[in-house]
Amino acid sequence: MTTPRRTAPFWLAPALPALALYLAIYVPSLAILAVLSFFKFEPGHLPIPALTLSNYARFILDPYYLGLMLNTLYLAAVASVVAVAMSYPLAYSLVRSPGLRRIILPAVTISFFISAILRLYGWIGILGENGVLNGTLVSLGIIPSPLPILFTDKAVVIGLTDFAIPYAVLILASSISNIDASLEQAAQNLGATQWQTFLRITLPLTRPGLIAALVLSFAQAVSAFITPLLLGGGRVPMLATQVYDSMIFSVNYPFASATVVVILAVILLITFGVGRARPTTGL
Amino acid sequence: MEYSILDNVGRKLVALVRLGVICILVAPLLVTVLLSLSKSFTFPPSGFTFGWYLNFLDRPEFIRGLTTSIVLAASTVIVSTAIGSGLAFVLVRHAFKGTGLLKGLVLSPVSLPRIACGVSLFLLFVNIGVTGAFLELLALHVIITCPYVVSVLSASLAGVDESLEQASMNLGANRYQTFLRVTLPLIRPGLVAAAIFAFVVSFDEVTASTFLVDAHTTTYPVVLFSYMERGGLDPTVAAGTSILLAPLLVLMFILDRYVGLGRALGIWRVS
Repeated sequence: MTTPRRTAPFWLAPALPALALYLAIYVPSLAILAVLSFFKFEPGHLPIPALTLSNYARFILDPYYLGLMLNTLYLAAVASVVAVAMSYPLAYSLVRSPGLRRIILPAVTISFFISAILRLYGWIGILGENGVLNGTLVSLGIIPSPLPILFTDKAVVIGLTDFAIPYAVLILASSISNIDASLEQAAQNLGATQWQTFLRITLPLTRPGLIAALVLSFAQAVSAFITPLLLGGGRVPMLATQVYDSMIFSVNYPFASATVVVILAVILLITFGVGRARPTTGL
Repeated sequence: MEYSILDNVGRKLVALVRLGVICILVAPLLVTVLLSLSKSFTFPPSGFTFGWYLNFLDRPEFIRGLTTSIVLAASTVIVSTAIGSGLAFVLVRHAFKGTGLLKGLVLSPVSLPRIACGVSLFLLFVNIGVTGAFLELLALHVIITCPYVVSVLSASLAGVDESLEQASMNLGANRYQTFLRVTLPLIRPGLVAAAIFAFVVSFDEVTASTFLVDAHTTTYPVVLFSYMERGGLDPTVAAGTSILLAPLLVLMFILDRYVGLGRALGIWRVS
C-alpha cells in the first residue's frame, strides 16, 4: 500500500493530457489576444509593444466603427428577440404535445447537425432575385418585380434568426418542461381562459428560460461571421467580418484583437447584466 | 374550462407561427437539395440534372477539402474522446478544491465565439512559430469539441455504480482491467454520443478554421465558404452539401438508437 501523499498525483493523471492542452495552448492564446489588443500598429511592421488604448478608442471616436458596433448590436437584438418569440410556440408543443414532438424534434435536431453552409446556400436560393420567394410572389402577381432582400441587412437578420431558433427552442423547451402542468390545469379550473393562463402562469414561470434563450441567441448573433458575409454579400459589415478584414486585408492584428475583445465584452455584459438565469435540463 | 373568442384566435395564431417556424427550419434544406438537381439557379426550376454533382466531382479542391475534413474530424474524435474521458473521469470521481474552476475552464470554449477561438489560436501559432496547418486545426478542433465530450461523458460516468468497479477490483482485476472491462462497457452510449458530437462539430466548423487553413490544407466547409464568398453561387455548392445529408441521417439514427434524440439534444446546452 502506498501512502495517500504518494497516490495523490495518480488520480489526477488521466486529466493531465487535456489540462496540458488547455494550459499550454488555449489559455495562452487568449492571453496573447488580450495583450496584442493594446499594441500599436504600423503598416508593414510587426505590432509595436506599447500600452495604448487607441485600438479601443476607435470604437467610440471613429463614427464608422461606432456605427459598425451599434449596427451589429441592433441586428443581433432584432434577430434574438424574433427568434425567441418564434421559438416559444414550438418549444411549448415540443414539451406538451407528443404528436407534434415527433415532427418538431427531428426538425430541430437536423438543423443543429446540418452544415451551416448548406443552410446559408438554401437562404440564398430562397431570398435571391430569382429565388423561391421572389419567384413565387412575382408569378402569383402579388408583386410586380423582385424584392431586393438578399445582400441586405434583412437577409442577414433572417439568417441570424434561423441559426438562433434551434438553440432557443431547446432552452425554452427545458424551461417549459420544468413547469408542473397541474398549475396550468388549476388556473383553468378556477376559470382562467387559455390566454390568461399563459400570461399569468406559464410565461412568468419560464422567465429564466426566456432570458437564457435571449442571451444565448444574442451572443451567437453578435459574433456571427459567415452569415453576414454570405447573406450580406459584403455589404452588411458586422463586428466579426471587421475582424476578418483586419486580419486578412489590413493585417492589423492589434485592431483585430481589440475588435474580438469588444465582442467578448458585449457578450459578458449582456450575460451578467441581464442575469444568469439557467433552467435545468429537462428534455 | 372556459373558451373565449380570443382563445380561438390565439390558438390559430400560435398554430400558424408554429407551422411557420417549422417551415423556416426545413425550407433552406429542401431548397438546397432542390437546386442541386435543378438545371438553372432560378425558381421555379427549369429541369432536372445531375450536372452539378458531376461538376463537384470534377473540382479537385473540393475532393481534397473533403478528404482533409474527414481525416481531421476522425483525428479530432480520437484525441478529444481520449483526453476528454480522462478529464471527465477525474472531474466525476474526485472532488477537490479546484473542481469548479477546472470545470469552468474546460467548458468555456463552448461559450467563446468561434471568431475569438480562431483569431487567438492564429496569433499564438504565429508568435511561437508553429507551422503545419493540420496540427493547428487539430488543436483548434480538439479544444472546441472537448467541452461536449467532457459534458456527455461526465453525465455517463456519474450514472455508473462505483460498487461495480469496487467488486471488479476485489475479484482481482487491476485498475486498467476494471476500466476496460467494467467502466467502458457501461459508458458506451455516452462514448457513442460524444464521438458523434465531436465528429459533427469538427466537420462543420468554418469560422475559426478560416484563420488556420493554408494553401495545402483546407477543410471542406472552408473550401465551400471561400467558393461562395468569391461569388460562386451556382448549385455546385448545393450538390457538395447535399451529399452530406445521407451520412448525417445515419449519424442521427445511431444517436437516436443509442441515447435518444431528446436526451442527445440536451447535450448541446453544455452548462
